[in-house]
Amino acid sequence: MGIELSWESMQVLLAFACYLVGVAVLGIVSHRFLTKGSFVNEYFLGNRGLGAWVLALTVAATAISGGTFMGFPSLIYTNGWIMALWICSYMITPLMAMALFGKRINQISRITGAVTVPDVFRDRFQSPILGVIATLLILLFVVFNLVAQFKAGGLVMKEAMRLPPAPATLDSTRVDEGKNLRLRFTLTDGRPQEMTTPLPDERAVFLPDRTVVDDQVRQARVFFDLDGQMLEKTVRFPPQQFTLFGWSNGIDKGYLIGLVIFAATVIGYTTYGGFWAVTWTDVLEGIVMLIGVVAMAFLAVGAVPSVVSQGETLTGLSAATELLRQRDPELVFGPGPKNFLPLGMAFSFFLMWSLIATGQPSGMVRLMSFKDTPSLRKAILLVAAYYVFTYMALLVIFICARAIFPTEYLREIGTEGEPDSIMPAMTRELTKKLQLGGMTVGPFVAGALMAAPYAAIMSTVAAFLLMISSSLVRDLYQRTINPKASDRTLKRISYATTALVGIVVMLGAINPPRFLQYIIVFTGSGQGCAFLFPMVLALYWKRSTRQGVLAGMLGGFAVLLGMYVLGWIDSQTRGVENGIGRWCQVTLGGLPGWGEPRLDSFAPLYMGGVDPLLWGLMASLLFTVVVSLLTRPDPALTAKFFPTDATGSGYQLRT
Amino acid sequence: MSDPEKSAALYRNARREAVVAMVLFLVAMTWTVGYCYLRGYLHTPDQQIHEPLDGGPALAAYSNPVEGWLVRTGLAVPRSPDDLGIVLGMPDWIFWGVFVPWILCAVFTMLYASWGMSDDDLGPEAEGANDGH
Repeated sequence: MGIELSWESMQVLLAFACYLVGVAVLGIVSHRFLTKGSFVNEYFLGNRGLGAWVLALTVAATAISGGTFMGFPSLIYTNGWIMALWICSYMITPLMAMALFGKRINQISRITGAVTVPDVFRDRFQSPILGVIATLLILLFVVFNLVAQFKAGGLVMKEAMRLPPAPATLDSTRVDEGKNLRLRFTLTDGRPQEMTTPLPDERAVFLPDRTVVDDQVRQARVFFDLDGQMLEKTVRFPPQQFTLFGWSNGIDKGYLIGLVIFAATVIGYTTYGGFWAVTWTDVLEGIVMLIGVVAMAFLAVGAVPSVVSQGETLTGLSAATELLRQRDPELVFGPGPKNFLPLGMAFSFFLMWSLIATGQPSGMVRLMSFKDTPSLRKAILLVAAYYVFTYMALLVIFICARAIFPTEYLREIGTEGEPDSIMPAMTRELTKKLQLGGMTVGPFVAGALMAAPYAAIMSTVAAFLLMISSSLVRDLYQRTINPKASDRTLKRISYATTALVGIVVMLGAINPPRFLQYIIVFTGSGQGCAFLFPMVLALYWKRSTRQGVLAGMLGGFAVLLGMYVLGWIDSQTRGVENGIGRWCQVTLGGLPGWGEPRLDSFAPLYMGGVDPLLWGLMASLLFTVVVSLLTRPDPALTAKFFPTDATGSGYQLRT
Repeated sequence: MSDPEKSAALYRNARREAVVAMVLFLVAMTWTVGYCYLRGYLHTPDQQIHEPLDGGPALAAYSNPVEGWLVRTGLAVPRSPDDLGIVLGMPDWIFWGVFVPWILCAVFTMLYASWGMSDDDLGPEAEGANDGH
């Protein structure tokens, strides 16, 4: 069976191809840089030579991931203006993530020659065990996160190709008890396949007789009645499938091809070019993202229909806001639909985005690589401006999207694995009328815009991939197993490790686990809980000890993990009448947050109405401080890392 | 080994800048979350508003005692679907609670990065950085 592609998809893919060629060229050019200087420092850290622009864009591009362009837009579309509050801690992130300890971590890593984040911990306290534990934690978090990012990459590519669905016939439709509409199809080879879509509203009534099946574009339009108002949703026919090595259930063909293309490009340039390839492509990707979203914001504002309110004609964003208010006031006020962001969660998310960005080793390692402080200062300035434009633009685009498409693309909760399709849909809608010299260039522009999320995922993946291989090569092999390894050996091992890790993760992403969304949040929070306070205190507090830092890392992680485990136990034992189930419910039932309604069984325990991140961070701070105070720092190390100047007042707190 | 004077100066400057970042963080969090919660939330009561028997003002029942207290004391102003003001296309509370502080934060960050933060000598790269030492 061949691959059917429409003319439109060809144009989108052409735009993608142009972008990928750019990335490949950068990868090759940066490979030439690898020949000078010591290999490990160059491959993993770029010899501490990052200038302002590169530092700024690489920090921004690493922080902005697949979620920014896939999950976040569909959340704005679903929940409306409350998402501005949800995301707004990015206002403070440039200062927190870069000024908080940028200079100091760079200085300390220069004193010791540290190349990775575990290096910094190990050298600061001369403790190999600390280095190894930090390495293992990073590996744990990053591998899982990578699977999720690969999946997102495959999904974007799939949307770009937009393989037509498989030919099929619609047999029956029914609404199940979970408020989902189920459409039963029969494929041409006789296999049955069911597609599920949630009702647009809990009270909506499905109108089976009005269903329109369009065999040409292979989709069904289904209609609902909500208080006399007609709502419409589009359900595509089942996707073309691909059976691999006799796996029982087929894999979506578009997704598989997308995943392979994504993996091949990103693994290729990361392996070949190392740190420089990753940072230079970050620059390209950062620029593509910025131009993409700002251009889309202008198109989106222009596309909103004007609306009359109290004798005034509103246009653009005002019209969009007014339309949202008229349809559902919860979209323009807190806490958002279905109590989306109560006070405790508003605090949690403010902490989450600013502190996770600060506590991520992939961000820290970039701070170890800038070349001088003027570069750092200029980079902070650039990142601040960058975030203003990107996030404001995203908010504007998808508020307008909700005004343009009232219900069609509502997030399909509970159908994990469905792409968050509002981003590609909006791109197509906004660009479809663009003309250049009589030719329709819309799809090409759409392709260029859709390269933005792809770029975002790519840069995150590349950074993580490099971090894993640096952990394995530097922290485990070079520093623990074989300290005398030659440059040549290290080089070969680095290439092999980077490529191998990439391939393993790709295989994991072919059939990704269902609860991926929680893994992303968990691994992100985990890095914050394990590394933020231990790092800040190791850098600034001369009284900190290796036992304290170790306790902080493991304690923060354990508390966070505990919240997720407790949440899972709560879901599993609810309504269970046997011994263990009852025992759990009775013993743990007194915990705050126990027994609250939860979205699904992998949601953590929201103790006190706040995210587990907050408890993890507090535990990590507490453990680091208390255990440090109970143990003694090594005076030689304190003297080495906290130098005194002539007056002797270097590190003493002036009173 | 790097010059200890310069090294110590970097440490002092970095610590001061870290304190500034944390203070701004707290200010920004208090303003955005506080303002939006007190001025932009619907504060829909969990039960219907009922008339007290003694003819006093109508009471709204909240299962969250803090929310109930904030509304009763007038600190939190419940919004209703009809009183939405639009500023620059945004709901009024988003404008004051998110947009304005975001712009101010960005401007402060830029000014601080340009003139407030110091330039320091980061010191030379350690000898033998490539060894497994």
